[in-house]
Amino acid sequence: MERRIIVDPNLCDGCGICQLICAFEKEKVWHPSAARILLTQSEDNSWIHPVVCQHCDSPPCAVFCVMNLISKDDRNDCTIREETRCIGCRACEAVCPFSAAVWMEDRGVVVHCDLCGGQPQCVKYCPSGALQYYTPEEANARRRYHIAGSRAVEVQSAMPGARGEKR
Amino acid sequence: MRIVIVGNGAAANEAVATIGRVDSRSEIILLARETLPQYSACALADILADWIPVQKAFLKNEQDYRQPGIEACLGEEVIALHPAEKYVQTRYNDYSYDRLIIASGSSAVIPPVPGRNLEGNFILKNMSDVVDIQQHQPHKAVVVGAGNIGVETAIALKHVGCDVVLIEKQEFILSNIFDSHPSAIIQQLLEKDGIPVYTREGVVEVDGSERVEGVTTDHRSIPCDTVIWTAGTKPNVSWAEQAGIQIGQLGGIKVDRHMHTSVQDVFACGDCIETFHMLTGKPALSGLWSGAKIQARTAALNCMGEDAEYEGICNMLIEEVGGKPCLSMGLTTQDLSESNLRLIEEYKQGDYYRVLLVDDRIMGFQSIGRVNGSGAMFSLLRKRTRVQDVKDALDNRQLQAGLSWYVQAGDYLFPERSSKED
Repeated sequence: MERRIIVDPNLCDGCGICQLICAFEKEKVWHPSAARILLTQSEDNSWIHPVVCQHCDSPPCAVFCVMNLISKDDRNDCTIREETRCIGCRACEAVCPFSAAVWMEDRGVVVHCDLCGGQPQCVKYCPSGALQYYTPEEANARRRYHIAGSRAVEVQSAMPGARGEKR
Repeated sequence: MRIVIVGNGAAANEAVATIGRVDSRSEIILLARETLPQYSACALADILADWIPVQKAFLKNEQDYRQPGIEACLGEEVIALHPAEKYVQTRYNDYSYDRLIIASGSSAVIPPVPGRNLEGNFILKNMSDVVDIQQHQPHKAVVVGAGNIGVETAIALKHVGCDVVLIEKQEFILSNIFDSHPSAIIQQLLEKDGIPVYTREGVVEVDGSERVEGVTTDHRSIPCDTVIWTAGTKPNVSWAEQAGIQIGQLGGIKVDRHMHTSVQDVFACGDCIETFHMLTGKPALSGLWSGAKIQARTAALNCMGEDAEYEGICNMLIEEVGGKPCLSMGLTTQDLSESNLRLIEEYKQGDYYRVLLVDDRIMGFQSIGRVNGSGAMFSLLRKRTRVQDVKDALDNRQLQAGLSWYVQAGDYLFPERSSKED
């Protein structure tokens, strides 16, 4: 599978640089409202979590687009749109489960993350490492490795007589 | 295999594309009434409003139909089907088929009132209707029927400087899409934009001797030079019905979950069919672009010998009125009148929304002004997730972080939680 933007919510501190970079890269505006990456936050503000187009296998936005301008790219399985043909009906925005289709009021079109053609700038500039660019398989392997590592430390420190040294 | 597809709209073209993906060797014959290449019927009001140029509404050009394995016969209207001999008949030719997919669409209905044939009466269904209306150069128009097309048409005409009056026979506008309260808010938005709306009024007569001079309703007379009929549509089933294909109680071609009609090797999809609603299982007409595409995929796959089941109609509609997005998904209170309905509704910073719940499951959602998070609501509605389960997930800190996009749905479902934080 192709690489996607992967979010590690534990590392995100909500600085919002990803949004600024995205807005600047794509819309030449220095404002988060023009970003294609979204920051969701919990009710008690205990976490902030970036959400971005997941490039669904069977994307609802493509079904609801009345201009048939959203499709899957055969080469890399990305969801792509022909923005120039958009008439701004906002149906794709209304059905996206992730709210990752973003209405650009100035231009009257809806857009979504195109992974910057394979070099996502939000990932490049993310200072905390919360945004990563891996294939889902790589991301899963890394997550397993990470969780197994921390569990090993817990088990080790819980053993009687163990010194519980942390690496 | 030789597949004949009747129609050239969303359903027919999606069927062509799906068949092409499954088996590029099959022979496809497309028979269309209109001579134009495929365009989006949903963009017609946008053309009328001068928001987009005519060319932008086209989704294909003539070149796109000249592909190996596809024979497109544009301008050949089907007049008869002979299921026993397995061929369809147009005015010019007979076309035999191994499988037939009917995607003949629907037609606008004009109620039988005197004067409806005078010059200046229009519908808004096909590209030719837009051209006709524009050539007529309306200055004062009465739009009859305030469904989504009627509202769009009224807004479009107003935008190009035409005086518009909107008339609706039902108690409130958009009554198939919205509940009465959100409908009243939308009516206010229309009136604020200078479009008078008269509900509970039926047209008695179109006045004039040669051309339209006015409209008489059961309450008043309105002088005008144009009448646009947007009072509903009916499925195009005439030749299918004559061929003995079963028609449902709502007037559409009856299909099963595989989009198969009552006749062997004949499938149907799009506006011409009658299927069932995803949430109620009751018979329902389709009528929207998105449904047509899914049905066409299902029909095409089954016609190619694969096993695909349709999950039922679940519509989502969005209109911009007075600069505000107005969206509705699932069912309305009118659809659910007999059930134990629970409502959540809120005004928030000038925006409004309501959620319709039955047995702790979302059955409908209507929002005016705010789109953000509606997609999460739509997937909860389609998945028939219990609201209690959403609450449990959101109460669990670990789950919550993994389902962060559902927090936006939580804003709608548990307004008391988010307001507590403010």
